[in-house]
Amino acid sequence: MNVQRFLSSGIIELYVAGMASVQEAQELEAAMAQFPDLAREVEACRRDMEQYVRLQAITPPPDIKEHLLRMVADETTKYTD
Amino acid sequence: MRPSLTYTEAELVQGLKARDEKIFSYVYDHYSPALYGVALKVVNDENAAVDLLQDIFLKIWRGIDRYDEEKGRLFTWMLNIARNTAIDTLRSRAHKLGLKMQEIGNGHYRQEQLTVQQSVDHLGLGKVLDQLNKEQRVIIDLAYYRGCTQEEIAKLLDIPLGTVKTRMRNAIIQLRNILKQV
Repeated sequence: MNVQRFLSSGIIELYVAGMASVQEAQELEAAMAQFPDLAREVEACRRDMEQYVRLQAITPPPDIKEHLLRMVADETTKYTD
Repeated sequence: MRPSLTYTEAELVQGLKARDEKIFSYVYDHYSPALYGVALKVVNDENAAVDLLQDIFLKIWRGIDRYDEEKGRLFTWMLNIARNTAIDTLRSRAHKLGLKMQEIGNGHYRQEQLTVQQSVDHLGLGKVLDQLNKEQRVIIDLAYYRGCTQEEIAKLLDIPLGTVKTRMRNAIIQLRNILKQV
């Protein structure tokens, strides 16, 4: 009933694309907490959106990694001192 | 990404929380192409995307204690950091230049083809995403990569709000159908 309304309303698609309004998102999240089937459907849609992102992955320039690892190592040293 | 994983997601989270630099390096190797792709799609500028990628990974490193596995997968969390960081940068840059989202949106529109072609070829996935028509890609990308609201998209594309919702829904349904064939 309630779940069906969400499934056919298009809110899931808007939500996963980051385009749901604050109110729509709150309504959907409240319903997801109540109905596991709905939560699963949202998660399935989210995985597909993430697959879309992965299809557009690009390897970053190689020197970034070393720089980043140095920054991270410096921070760790600071924390533990 | 699954087949090449030698750590479970729980192990990665645990390693990051323990400030294990080897795990961080592994996470970088596995997720940086996806996150760099996001940064590049949002700002459409390689130098800015490189800076963003570093910010994004520093946020992941510093913020991992706030990650809650009950609320979603690690990749979802990292993607949200990447999107939010990149979109914030884009918006503040636009603000400084006195541009409206519409104007940035239009720039995005024009350069779309180029970026997309390059990244898809990179993965050798050829024409998969070509099955979405331009209208569908534009609306998904404006929402997902530009963080545009329904109202902004309606103005930008000069279509009614109701049409934005219907078009978005159909675009995502089409995307999901396409992905089933991959």
